[in-house]
Amino acid sequence: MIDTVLFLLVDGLTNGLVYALLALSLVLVFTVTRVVNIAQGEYVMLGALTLADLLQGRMPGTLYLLIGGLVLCIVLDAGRWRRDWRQALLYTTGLIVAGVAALALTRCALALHLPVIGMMLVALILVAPLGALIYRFTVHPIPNATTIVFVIISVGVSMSLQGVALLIWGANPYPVDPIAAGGLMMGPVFIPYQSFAILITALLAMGGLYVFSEFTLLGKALQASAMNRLGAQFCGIPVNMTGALAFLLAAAFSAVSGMLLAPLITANYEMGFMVGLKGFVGGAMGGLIDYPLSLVGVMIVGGLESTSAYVASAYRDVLVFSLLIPILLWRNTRSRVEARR
Amino acid sequence: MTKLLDVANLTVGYGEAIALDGISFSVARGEFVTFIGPNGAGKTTLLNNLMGVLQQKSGTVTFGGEDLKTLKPEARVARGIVIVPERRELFPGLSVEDHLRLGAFLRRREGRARMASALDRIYALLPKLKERRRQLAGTLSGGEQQMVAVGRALMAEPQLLMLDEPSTGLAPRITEEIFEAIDRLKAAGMTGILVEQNAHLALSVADRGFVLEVGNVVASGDADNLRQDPRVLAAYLGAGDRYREIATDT
Amino acid sequence: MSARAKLALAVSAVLLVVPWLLPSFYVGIFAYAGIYALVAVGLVLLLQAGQISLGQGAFMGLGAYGSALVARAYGIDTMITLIMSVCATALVAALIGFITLRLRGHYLPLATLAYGIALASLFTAWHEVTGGASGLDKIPALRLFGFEITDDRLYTQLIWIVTLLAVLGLSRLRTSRTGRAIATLEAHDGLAQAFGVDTTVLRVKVFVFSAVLAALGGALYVHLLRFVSPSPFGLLTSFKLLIMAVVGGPMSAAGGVVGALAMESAQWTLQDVLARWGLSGNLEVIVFGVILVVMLLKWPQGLWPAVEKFLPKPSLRSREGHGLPRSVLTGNRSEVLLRLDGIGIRFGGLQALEGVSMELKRGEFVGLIGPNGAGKTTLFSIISGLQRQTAGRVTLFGEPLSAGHTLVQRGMARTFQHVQLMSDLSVIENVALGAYCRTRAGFVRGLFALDAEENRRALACARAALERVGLAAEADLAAGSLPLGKQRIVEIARALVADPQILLLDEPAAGLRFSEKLTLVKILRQLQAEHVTILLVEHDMELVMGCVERLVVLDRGKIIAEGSPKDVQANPAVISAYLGGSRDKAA
Repeated sequence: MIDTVLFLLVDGLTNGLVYALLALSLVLVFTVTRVVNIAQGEYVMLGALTLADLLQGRMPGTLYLLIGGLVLCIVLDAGRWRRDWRQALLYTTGLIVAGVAALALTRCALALHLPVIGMMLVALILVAPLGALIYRFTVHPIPNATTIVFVIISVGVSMSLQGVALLIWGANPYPVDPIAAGGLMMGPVFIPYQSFAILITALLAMGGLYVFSEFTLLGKALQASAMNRLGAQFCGIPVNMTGALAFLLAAAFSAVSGMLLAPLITANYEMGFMVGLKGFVGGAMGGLIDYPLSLVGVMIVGGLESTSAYVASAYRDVLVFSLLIPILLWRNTRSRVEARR
Repeated sequence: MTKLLDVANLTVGYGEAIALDGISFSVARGEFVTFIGPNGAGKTTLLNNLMGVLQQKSGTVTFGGEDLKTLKPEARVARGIVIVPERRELFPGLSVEDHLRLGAFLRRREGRARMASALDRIYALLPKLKERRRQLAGTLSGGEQQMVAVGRALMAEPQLLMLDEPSTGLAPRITEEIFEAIDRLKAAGMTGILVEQNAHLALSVADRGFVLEVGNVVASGDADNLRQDPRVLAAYLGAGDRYREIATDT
Repeated sequence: MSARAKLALAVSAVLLVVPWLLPSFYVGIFAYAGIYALVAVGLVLLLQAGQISLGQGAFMGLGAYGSALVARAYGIDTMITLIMSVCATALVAALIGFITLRLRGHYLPLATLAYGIALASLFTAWHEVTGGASGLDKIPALRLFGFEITDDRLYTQLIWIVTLLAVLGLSRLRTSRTGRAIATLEAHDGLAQAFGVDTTVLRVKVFVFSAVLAALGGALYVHLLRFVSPSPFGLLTSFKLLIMAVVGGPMSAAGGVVGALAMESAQWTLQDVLARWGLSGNLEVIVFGVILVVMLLKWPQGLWPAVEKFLPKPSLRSREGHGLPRSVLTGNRSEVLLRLDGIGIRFGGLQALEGVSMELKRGEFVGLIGPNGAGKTTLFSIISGLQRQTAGRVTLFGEPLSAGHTLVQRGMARTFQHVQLMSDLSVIENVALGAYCRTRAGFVRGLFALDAEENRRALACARAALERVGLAAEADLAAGSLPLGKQRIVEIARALVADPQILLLDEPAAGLRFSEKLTLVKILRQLQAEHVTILLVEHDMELVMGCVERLVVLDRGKIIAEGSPKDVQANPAVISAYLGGSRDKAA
């Protein structure tokens, strides 16, 4: 009995930590840009599949996605040439250099047969900018749209990214090597090293975000844009830059969580969506604005998931997603009480 | 004196609504002008347009010889157009010092030493901020928040400082403190636009004044002369003559 | 019969004949298109009410499983199981709606997504009953009054009849009392409230109706296919339905049909092309996603406006004859209609209003003025029932003030500082909203056009009000196409249709040009001559001084002066409140 409880605890904690990175991404994006990003989970999938390709010595399809995005960016921003050609030249050159650099980096990494951690870094560098590109294509053009419009748009983004992944990688699952194989017997419970890796990476990521937000001016600018967009503009903070930055960081966190998760469940084109939504269920606990409460939320989701997988595995998703409704209601009354105050 | 800001036939509105109807004025370097008038006159609209958060329908705004039309707010801040907004627009969860540093966001590459000396200057002008430097903006009193807004704007090293209703909601003693700071800035040669509903207060600081009434400049001139001008009172309390004679059609 | 109606009939006839002309392979596709169109039409209604559902597929599933399982297990006539299943889904939707529709902003779409996934997972998980992921076959065919429909073409025709009826009903609804109320749901909450619309109940009704259409679609689907499995009711279906609604656009129920046909043809064409390129799988979702994003970025109103450009004008519902009765407004000029007694309100530590007492007598024209931050807006919200005071009392016609949405019925109507018109609807429809509290026809009567006489009277009343304010010629233009000056006057006409004793005007001159202000003043004078009691909040002092009889001046939450414009203009306290005291350098 105690073994089972321990096992569930470890399992729940591992799941919770993966979702925590997602919840972190979602809260970051929502506070800075007011976008409820249904597509956040797709970066999980992109991270995992990119890593799978790199580990097996293939050029990852993500690279083509990135280069295509950069080209589209150059096309969409063609209007810059008329306004200020010097700035446009700088901008275009920058994007081209970025594309070439990404290509070169990938080739080097493949040639050098980097270890898993190194490949994870390369995959991160390839996936994270996609977040900023998606911001440029879908949020930047309509800064004053309603929340609902952004939700629907993110549904479209999610569908497209999943479809593109299917086109690139097909429907087959890809195995991904863990950072370290094997595990550890702790008392009666076997804990894979990957679980420790997840714990450490999640803590590092959260700590990194904390340090960035609290101790750098750019981090403060990000916070400022989240708290008061107009006030940030009045300080000369370009809110489109902070929005893109939020999307980029969120894509990075989600990609990391995908790379950590993939060794446990194998990577495929549709793995991200559900993970993203479970991050939502947890994040909703904090109203998508409160980091600590979101962490509580994802731990509840992780725990419920492990428990229900053990007790009634078929009903796992039913239970996890039904949980959102009481959470939202609690949140709603809470925010009303706060508003009244 | 050289013209720093030149506004010609500026018309600004929200959707269909006209809030400023073709106004023209200019501000010379080192000059402090004020726009007075009742609420709804278009004062805040003017500043929002100059700041780049609200596009004009027609007319031109040139600053230091450059047409501002296509410039985004951050580009205007970079050129030294800085605002102390009416609602202060602070970041409730950030400290006073964070606000000041963010005020210098565009000058962040100038190095630690310059940032530190800029902070010292603000703390010398507004000593209360130094006491509160670690406190979160959301927990400050109204007067202290206003000082943070002023300090944050000054950190950008403005060429043109725009103050939007700095006296709103403040007790007279606090208002006086804020206006004394403005006096000192002016004495140091700062160019500024002060928007105020409180006409007497505004005219006591400014060199020149413009009286706005529902989108139009109805009077302007030397601040001391305007103080005695009956058109100022009429702008606030109306005469009612233009509408009194209208009969119904039916 | 109007040209639009004739065209609609012709298109319907074509859609009903098509199943008999198509090769048999395409009949099925056309049938599914009809089902998706039916569900998408329900989603369009949701969009019109400013709502959204990312879980509509789950309601289809409930309708499908409900009817299929009961009919299969107990051999009950499928017509009965279908009706039962749709009703059961309606109950579930009412429950979910009651819980979730109180959620605000981004919580609502997330909630729809959550129950969508939860229900869809349930279809797989509960395999003892549902057959799990592999599904159940041998689902009985649909029977209509004992007649079994096994012919696919006939079935397809039946589906399209249902879909077209839904479009017809919802088009009727759009121009009915309830339809006008639904359109307010997307706008500011204050608008619905000001005209007596109970938004909570109406939101649930709209939600339930869209779920009913989904359930009906699901049931029709499952008896056509004679096989039930979870996959057609999953998230992908919900998303596709959403795309259809967005592509069609929220302007008209017919947009749902346009969207469904467009997306279904796109899907089959794409799959064809992809197969020819040797690609398999759901790759068309790439294009769908892009379509969704591009539509919202570039054409948020969907395809319908582009289609409508080529159509003849729709027939207008009758607005001739007598409207609703108008109250007599003359009477004892000393009668107090509205009384404020020591009103106070605190926000946190701030005393926004304190000890405000004033009266509004029958036939009076009173202006409420004050410098920035005086508390005018707060006082106005208290009077119009949007906010509760923390001290003192308000009495309206001698009785205490009640909740905001009941005030219009008691004879107090208002206009808004930021114009609140439904810009896609015609001027006369906007104005007719004012009659909401004076008419009764509900959702069902609107849907089945059983409200003709009452609706005619409401529209006649609206027409009369437009004549009263001189906008009769603009009655059929889209409200959003008018210049601001006229929009503000449309708001006044809308308030007049509510037959108010008291009219509250919230900055009616803001943003107007001088010539527009002249028109406004003329109308206000005329209303005054007609004995309407008016309370005006306005910034334009020239205008206020030129029309009101009496002024109340607020400053820092207190009344500092009251009297005729002349007295107030000369009052030193008022002058110092506006211009500020002179600066005391010694302090």
